[in-house]
Amino acid sequence: MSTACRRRLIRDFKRLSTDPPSGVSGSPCPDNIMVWNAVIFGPSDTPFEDGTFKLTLTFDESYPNKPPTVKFLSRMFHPNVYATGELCLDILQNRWSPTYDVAAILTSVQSLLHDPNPNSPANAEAAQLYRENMKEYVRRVKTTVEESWMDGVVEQVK
Amino acid sequence: MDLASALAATGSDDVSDPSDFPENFGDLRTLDRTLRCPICKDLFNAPVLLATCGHSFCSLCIREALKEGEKKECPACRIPTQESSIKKNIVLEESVEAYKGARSNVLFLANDAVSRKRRREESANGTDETPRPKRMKRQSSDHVLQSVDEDDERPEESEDSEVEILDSNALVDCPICNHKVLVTRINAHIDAGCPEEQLPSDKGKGKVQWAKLLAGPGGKTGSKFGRRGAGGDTDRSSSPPPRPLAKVSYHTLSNKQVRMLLQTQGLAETGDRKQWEQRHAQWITLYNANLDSSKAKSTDQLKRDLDKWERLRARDEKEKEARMSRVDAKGYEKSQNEHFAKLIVQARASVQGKSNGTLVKGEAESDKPIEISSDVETV
Repeated sequence: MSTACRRRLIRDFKRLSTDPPSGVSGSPCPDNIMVWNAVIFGPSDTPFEDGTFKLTLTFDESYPNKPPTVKFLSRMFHPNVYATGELCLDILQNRWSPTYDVAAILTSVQSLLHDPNPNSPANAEAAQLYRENMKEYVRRVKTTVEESWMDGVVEQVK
Repeated sequence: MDLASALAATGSDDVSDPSDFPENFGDLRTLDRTLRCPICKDLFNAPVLLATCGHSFCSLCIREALKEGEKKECPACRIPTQESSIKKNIVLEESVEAYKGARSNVLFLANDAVSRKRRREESANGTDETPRPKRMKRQSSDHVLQSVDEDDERPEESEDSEVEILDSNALVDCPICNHKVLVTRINAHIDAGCPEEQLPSDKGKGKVQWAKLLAGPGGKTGSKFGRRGAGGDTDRSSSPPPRPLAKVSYHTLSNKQVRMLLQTQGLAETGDRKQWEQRHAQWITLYNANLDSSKAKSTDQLKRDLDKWERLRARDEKEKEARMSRVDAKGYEKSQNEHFAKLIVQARASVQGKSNGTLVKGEAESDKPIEISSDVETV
């Protein structure tokens, strides 16, 4: 028996693999369709450029009436990302709509990297640097970009 | 794409999608998309529209969205709305039902056109030595269907036309007894040794056709017959349609009153007060959504749907607890290494695919399909 939520996730996956938005990818874990792994490339012309940031999306049966829990696994330095990797993004909270799908979520997170919102900071230091010391902000972000590659390289060597 | 088909195969139901249609049939993809609910992305099931903005959804989808959502607004345009603005969308339901019947045929024809085109190109490739890039260009054009129709389809169609498709009410001459027999009965008629067949009486047929004619313009005639024929009025003679159940504000009620509500609907009284309320509220949603469907489910079926919903909720709660105990992000990341490596390749392909042609897309697709366990099917 498949449920409405699971059928919807299969459709989301179909859409994501037949018509992938630029610079994002995601798919369900092989053993559990309710947990997805995703990768977002840092958008070009931002300090995040070339970063390969990893995320997980966790769904429950209330999807798509309720948004999934979206978390960065890679360490982020961004005004709207908490130290735990959780995001402060309106469409994942009070501006959620059940018409959104995984492709829409991933592209929204990608554009959040592009346009941080320092007015609702999740990381006070990042927000402050973003407003007052762009040079230092960029430097700090670049270190996370390099770390994001390291994750992959170290693990692939193992 | 392999991934998607692997997934679709594991689902117990067929999970259809606009992308089932070949890429160069963009208009069919669009048609398919417009007949889908923006919430579940399935073909509309008991479609309704919101009188406040005009957007359509499956009845159950929008009712659940308004119940679960934080704000009472249209999921598509965010215009404020409420359950009382939900109106049946009869024409849309008829369109979708007709489309559901036609979809597999249309899909078959579209795929057939593509494979014929490919075959023709392969055979052309064998006979003359036209340079390859030229053909590739033709394939990618939007005129595939048209060109197939013009030169390829016709000769083959004449072969196919040996099998004439007859109306199921058509009469044919029996080759043995020479009597007229209904085409749908002819095989059985011959097998049974040519008994006398009951033919649809012309008189009755005429009546049906008149009724159709009169019903057609929908009361335009204004005559007594015309009105009798027009669909809407016939409902009046049968029992009145069941009314939707009213929503309840439970916080004003005592435990006893809530139990009474469950009893009147014939629902279980297990669990605590919170579960009672949730069960009753979900029952109202299921019941009212069912009223918007022309193929309404039985009460028993609805109760089974309610049971399933409760079981899923209970399981969700359990899994949530299990997740709480698992907070080792780094460990998880390591365990998912292979998966992430694949995703990085895909994401890179999607970037390059957008900027320099579609060549790179093939690379991503050549990845091994990820197998999704049977978990998809279990509840």
